[in-house]
Amino acid sequence: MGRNDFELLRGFEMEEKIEMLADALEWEASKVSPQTPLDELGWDSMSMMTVIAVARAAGKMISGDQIRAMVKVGDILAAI
Amino acid sequence: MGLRLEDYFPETTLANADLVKLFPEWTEEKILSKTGIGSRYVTSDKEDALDLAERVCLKLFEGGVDSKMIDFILLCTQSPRYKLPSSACILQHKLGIPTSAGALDYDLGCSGFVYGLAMAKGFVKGGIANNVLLVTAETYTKYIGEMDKPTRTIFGDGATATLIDEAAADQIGEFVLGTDGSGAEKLILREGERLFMDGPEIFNFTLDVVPKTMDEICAKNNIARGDIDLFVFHQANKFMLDTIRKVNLIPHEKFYVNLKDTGNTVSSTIPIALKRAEAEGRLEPGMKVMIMGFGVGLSWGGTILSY
Repeated sequence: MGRNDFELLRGFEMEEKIEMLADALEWEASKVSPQTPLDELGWDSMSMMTVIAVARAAGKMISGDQIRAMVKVGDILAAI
Repeated sequence: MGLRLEDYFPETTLANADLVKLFPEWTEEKILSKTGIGSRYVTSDKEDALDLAERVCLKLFEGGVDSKMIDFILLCTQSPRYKLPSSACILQHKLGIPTSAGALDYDLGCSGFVYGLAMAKGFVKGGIANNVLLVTAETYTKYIGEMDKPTRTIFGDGATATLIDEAAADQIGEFVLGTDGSGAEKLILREGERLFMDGPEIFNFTLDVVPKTMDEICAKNNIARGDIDLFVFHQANKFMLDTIRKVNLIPHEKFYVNLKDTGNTVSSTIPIALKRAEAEGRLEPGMKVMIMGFGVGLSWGGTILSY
């Protein structure tokens, strides 16, 4: 069977993580910074599941409570 | 040979275009691309899960199954008409099934079809019944708040009926079943409230339990993952299914996804998918199919079907 589509995120620079997040979440990367409020980016349940999937690919677990407590992009970056 | 099964859906549909009117921050295309769902069926105020169950059974009987030979009814529903009696008892009378038949409801969601197959196989192989009518019927849409975007987008109503006789029981492999009641509140309907789903936690649960259960099903059925011809899992939503496929390294062509016009019909998704896969020519004699259900409970289960 083929290789896993996900890549580990460890060792990636902040900008690279933002680009990958933006790609996964269909954000415009140039308009996103760690301070950007998630509310301005269409943050919803599907976005949450996408972040959970990305985090798992990086070997990190994010609980439902943790992800609901996130308010800005930097919170996601800190978790992954 | 495939299982003898039928599906049935209510007449009314809820399309993405209808949802976008309520949730203008989304587009029809975005809902479709994320969930894989373009439309879902919704019961009217005048019909319930028992109505759907009756109609799908009549459809099965019209296809040649004799109602008089049914000697056990298993009805999986979390939307019963009454707290008591069991909807299965009412179904026996409505369908003219002999009074010598046993009948019971059981209260499971997305794992319900798999559990039903396990019980039906046990009944047939244990000499308790010869022809079990396994029915799944669910109307979750009645439980969902109008502005609950995540759940309204995903769930749809529907029903299936499957005949499990000796020949069908021979096609059904060994089961892996599991339960974790510590997660009960992650998907719950409390008295007087609307359906609550903790989507992220259900997603975490699924990504934890599916790989482990796949390995256990393979071990119990003495089969390698690579020898499975088709994986037909609970059709929760496209994003979840895509992630399951990727993290479990399942080839795209062996992974069945079909919920565009139905949405997540809870306990009915697997039999609906099996029927459609067969109609599309994806299932041929000799094939090994892994089925798995997972969700509310938390509850999960899977087995191998031999076509």
